Amino acid sequence: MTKISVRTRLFAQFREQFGGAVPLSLEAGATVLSALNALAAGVPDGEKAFFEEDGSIREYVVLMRNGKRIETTEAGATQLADGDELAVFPPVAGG
Amino acid sequence: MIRVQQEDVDIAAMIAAAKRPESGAVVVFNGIVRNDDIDAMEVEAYEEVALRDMEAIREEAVGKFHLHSADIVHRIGRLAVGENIVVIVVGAGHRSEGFRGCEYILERIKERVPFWKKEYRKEGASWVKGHREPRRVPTRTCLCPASFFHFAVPKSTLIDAAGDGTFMKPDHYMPPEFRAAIITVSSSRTPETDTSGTKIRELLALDHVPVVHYAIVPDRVDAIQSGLARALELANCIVLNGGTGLTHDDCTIEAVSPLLEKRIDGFGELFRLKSFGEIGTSAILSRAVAGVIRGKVVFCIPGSTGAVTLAMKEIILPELGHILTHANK
Repeated sequence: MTKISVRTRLFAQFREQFGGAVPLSLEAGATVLSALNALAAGVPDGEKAFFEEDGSIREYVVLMRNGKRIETTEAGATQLADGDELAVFPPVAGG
Repeated sequence: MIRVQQEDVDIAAMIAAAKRPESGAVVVFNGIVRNDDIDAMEVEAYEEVALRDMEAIREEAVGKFHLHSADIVHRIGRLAVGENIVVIVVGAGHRSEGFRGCEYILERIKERVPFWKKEYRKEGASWVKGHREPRRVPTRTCLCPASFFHFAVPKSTLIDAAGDGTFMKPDHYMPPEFRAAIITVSSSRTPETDTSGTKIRELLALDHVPVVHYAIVPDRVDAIQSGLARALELANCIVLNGGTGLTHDDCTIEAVSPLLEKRIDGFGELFRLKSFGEIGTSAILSRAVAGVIRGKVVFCIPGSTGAVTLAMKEIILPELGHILTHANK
């Protein structure tokens, strides 16, 4: 099966924990959810940052695929394509 | 000018640039690093998205508040106590538009633009608690059983919905099919002097809702009912304004109420609640009511520009698509 490359952008606490730009190589057809799992597997306690104990994505996690928001509830249904940029960040605090 | 930058901001130059011959007010918001026992603050951004989001917010604010200009500079990097974090400068014809426009821009930035702040203290550093977004359903929350129920809303309220219209997928709402009618109930007004009717038309136009019928009818039950019947043939959203008070002549409610198949009591309740905030207990003198007739929605609101602005902007336009969708299920 062919692989796809996905660029990730992480910010604030997530950047500190996972790194600011983690390249991922995923199976073709991988979803946003599988990318999150791959990220989480890369660092100690990574899962706790993104997921509740029941495995659902934490409510405060904000996801963007190529600059557009994705509801956490749709992460498992949203497929990634080669070259996509996936951003993962905590609630914003500007202004 | 929309910028994300490390350098400090030349506020005087921004103000100078905002001054136009037609402007009567320039409003400046300058957010600075407050001394909450911190040594410094570090601001981080998802820069491309922040710039794009702020452009969208600027567009919204200019449209909503008729601003002549709106410029935003948000800094990133390490900032000391007292340093500028964000500067928003808006130019407007009048102060109220300027103040509201400026505040709108700031609040939207706080809600949704990807910036983060880390505060450095002697005992350690911590991230400033972010804005928890009240948006876990694609469109707006709906009480009906299907939680992913999709409904049409006018354009500007789409953007406003949960502050994140830009995040919706196009297939999550239907193309608006609104046809509005305005009936001003008055025995003395003419189209030239009908200020509240004109206001309703303006507000509908801002949301791209076409007005297919307009009439002024006198304060008589038979005249109001035949005017409404005519409007119902042409439009699916009828806004009657005027004749909702307690004087001897006021009979809009008496004319319309018996014809409503379903009353939307919440409309009047919410309208008076919001009016209370503006005019105090006098709000109880309004008998504003709404309801549904054959899948079409009818609103009866007072005939003052203040009342129609409040009702249209804060209740009718945001809920219009929702109501029509339910009324036609």
